[in-house]
Amino acid sequence: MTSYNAEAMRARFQELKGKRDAVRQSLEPLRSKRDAIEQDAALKIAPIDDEIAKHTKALKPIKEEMALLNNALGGKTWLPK
Amino acid sequence: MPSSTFTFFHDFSEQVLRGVHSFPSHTYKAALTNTAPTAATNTILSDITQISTGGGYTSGAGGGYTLDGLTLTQSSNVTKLEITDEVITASGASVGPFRYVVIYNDTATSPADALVGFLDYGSALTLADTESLTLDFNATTGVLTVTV
Repeated sequence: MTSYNAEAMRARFQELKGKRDAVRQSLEPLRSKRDAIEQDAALKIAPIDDEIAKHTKALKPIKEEMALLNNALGGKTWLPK
Repeated sequence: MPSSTFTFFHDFSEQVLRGVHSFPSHTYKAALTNTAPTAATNTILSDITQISTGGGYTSGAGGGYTLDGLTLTQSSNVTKLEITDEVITASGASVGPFRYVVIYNDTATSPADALVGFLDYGSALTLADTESLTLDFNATTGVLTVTV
């Protein structure tokens, strides 16, 4: 029969804490490795993202006007030859 | 101009939180299909039966039209994703028939080509050679808003 007295519960708590800490120790190097890869990638990607954002901003009014014209023309946007 | 409704694939909600998606940095594309997507179970582009290549449309992995006008705007606790309307044009041949325009993440690798959602035009459309269609993504409401 399981004992629920305080002493047994403390012992069980300490046992679980030991297990938790052991798993955490295994996780730590994996997390560090993953974070390092992600940080390295982020550093390389950031300037490209900035460039993409700059071009996307320039594209927006062009595409909006094209959509406006296309809708007004009912999809017949081709210039006659 | 034909009108459409937008539906999210259910899996998108999970993939957003897993960090699979990155708006607006990742490359998002619009694939065309005439087969009704299943929002509850479709997760990746290969679940979608695309129309054949032709008229300027490229089918298969990485297929469709690139959506290069994604922007995020934040106002207090709400951030809105907007996709600038995209004009697609049939060139050299017709495109279609298609009824659905499926948005997917072409950058995502795991899962590859993760699906976002789809526009439903209600009935099949065919663009005759030289004809254009505006893929209209509601600029007022945005495609997606996140409120915290």
